Amino acid sequence: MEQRLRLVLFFFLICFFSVFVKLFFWQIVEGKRLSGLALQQYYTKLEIPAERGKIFANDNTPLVINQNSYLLYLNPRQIELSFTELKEKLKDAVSLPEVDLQNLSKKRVVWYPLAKNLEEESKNKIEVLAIKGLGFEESEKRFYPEASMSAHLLGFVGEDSEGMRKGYFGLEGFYENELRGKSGSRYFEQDAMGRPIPLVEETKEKTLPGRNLFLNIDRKIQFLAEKHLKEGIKKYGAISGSVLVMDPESGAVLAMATFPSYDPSEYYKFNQDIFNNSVISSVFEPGSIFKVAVMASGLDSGKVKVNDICTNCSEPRKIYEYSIKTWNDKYYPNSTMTDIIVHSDNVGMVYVAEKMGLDKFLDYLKRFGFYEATGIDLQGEMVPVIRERKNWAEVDLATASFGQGIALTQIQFLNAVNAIANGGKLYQPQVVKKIFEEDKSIVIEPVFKARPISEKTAKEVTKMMVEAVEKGEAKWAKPEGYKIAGKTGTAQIPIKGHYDPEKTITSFVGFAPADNPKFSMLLTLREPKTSPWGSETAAPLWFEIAKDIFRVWQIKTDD
Amino acid sequence: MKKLIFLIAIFLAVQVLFMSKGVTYGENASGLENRISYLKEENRNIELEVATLVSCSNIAQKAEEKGFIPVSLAESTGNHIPVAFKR
Repeated sequence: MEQRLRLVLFFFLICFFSVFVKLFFWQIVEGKRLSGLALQQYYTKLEIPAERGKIFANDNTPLVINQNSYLLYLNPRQIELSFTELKEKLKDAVSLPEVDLQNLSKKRVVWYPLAKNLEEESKNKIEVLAIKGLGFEESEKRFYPEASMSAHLLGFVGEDSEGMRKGYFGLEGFYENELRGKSGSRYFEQDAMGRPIPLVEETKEKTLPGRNLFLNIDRKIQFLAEKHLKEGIKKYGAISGSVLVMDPESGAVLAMATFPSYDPSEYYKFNQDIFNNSVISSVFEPGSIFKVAVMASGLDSGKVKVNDICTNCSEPRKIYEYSIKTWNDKYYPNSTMTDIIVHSDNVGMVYVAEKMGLDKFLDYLKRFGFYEATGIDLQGEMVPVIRERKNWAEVDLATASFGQGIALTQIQFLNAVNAIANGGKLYQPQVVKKIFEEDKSIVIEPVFKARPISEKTAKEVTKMMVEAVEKGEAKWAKPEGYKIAGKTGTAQIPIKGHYDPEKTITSFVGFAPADNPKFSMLLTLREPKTSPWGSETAAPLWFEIAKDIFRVWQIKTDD
Repeated sequence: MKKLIFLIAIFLAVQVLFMSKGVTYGENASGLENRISYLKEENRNIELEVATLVSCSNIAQKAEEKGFIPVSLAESTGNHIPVAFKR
């Protein structure tokens, strides 16, 4: 009997000891892990992604907003169809990339993304099919009400190396930090049905939505400029072109278009080269449009005066073995400075540059901001390199005076011409007017940078540019009744150390109304086929866009 | 002893009541959250619809469908009848 009792006692002791060991194991050894698992069971964390900021034109209409999108994923271990069957069933809703289901299943993959950025309609179509093993994750994507309009200006939203959404190029790239926002989260206790229990403490990390951008861009002008540019490129057989419209009084960018363009909602279908905005990211030799900047420099430095007579404009100018001719091989002896601009006289411009001398010439290049980035609020602005003073030969100064052998960006050049239009003030170009969120906004005031030329010089050059439009080669295309200051340009394209004899970049720069400019515009066409001259391609196109601006803004004729 | 049992019963009843109220609150809160997200989605869809309708490309296309022609084209024909009548 006593032995039996001992046996029972021993048995109970073993049991107690086992329970004790197990409790020790659960509470001490595995305690942390198990309490973590328990927390996971009744606590849940909900990630609340931040909505990316929207982008609005200056009439408050949206250029970029957000729409719901869905990621379609599959669980290879649950799917009961073969991939061919799956593809066939989903063909009306989404086109799927090739997937090796068996291989995924072998690797014990339980989540595999099939298609991103699906719209509500596609999602509904798939859901109706009720295919086991398919699921959706909600996200958002950019929506462009104006389709591909302003693509180069806006940029696009792609993914970085970690799969996170990120803005590239244009405004999306430049204002990434403002637009992105900060995603938040919510921790709360839930019941068995997954419903939150409100009586227990809830922890929240606030979501900060991205800030919105309100632009200087005039949507109507942007639309018309793009439309005309596309038509013009087709009409003149050019390979590409761009147009930039600004407010010379503040540096505000009113329209900016480059063609060929791309669809920012399907950016991944395009070659990367097309993402570059040629207005800010490509350099070009400006050709004759540069003459207005050189003439302004000559007049402002006091080295030439409006009524000075060019003493060597009667024949080609020889510098060593080089012979500098006019564009049409016609020569105008005793030309005034105005005549030089009106005739777009290369020899006359050499006269002006030589009167100034290299140091003054380079000094004015610096004053006009050609040595530095303009600081425009777009990602990807390029700064062309102007060669050092010691590398300038006599012939370089001569050719630079009429815009050859010097490279600029279009934004740099129009910004400099703005200084002529507004009485001598250089502003920083700005696309964004205001950054705003729910309860506050930051208004971006015009940024005055410098005064490269005097008001008097600006007025003198404006007068010359008006004469150039009235009497120059492009006078036939000018809209009646308006006083427009402008200048045509035709630049040869440098290829491997020499200039292509046939291909040109044609351009026209100007502002209107000349006495009280409401806008300035630079238009360039690359390699037009119908004519190599700016006066027959870029100028008429410029005037077509200008006519629309007059109409839209109801600018009255000067007479 | 009876008092103790009574107190325990009261305590249990209060707890059940309290819990059931909690569950009701939770359900309501969850319902409201669903409603908020539904309205947000609806707002977003309306925003998309309005943005599409007022877009320049859409207006230009609609105008063309209705027979209007661009002003520049009207002027080039030398006919200065207002655009609205160019059908």
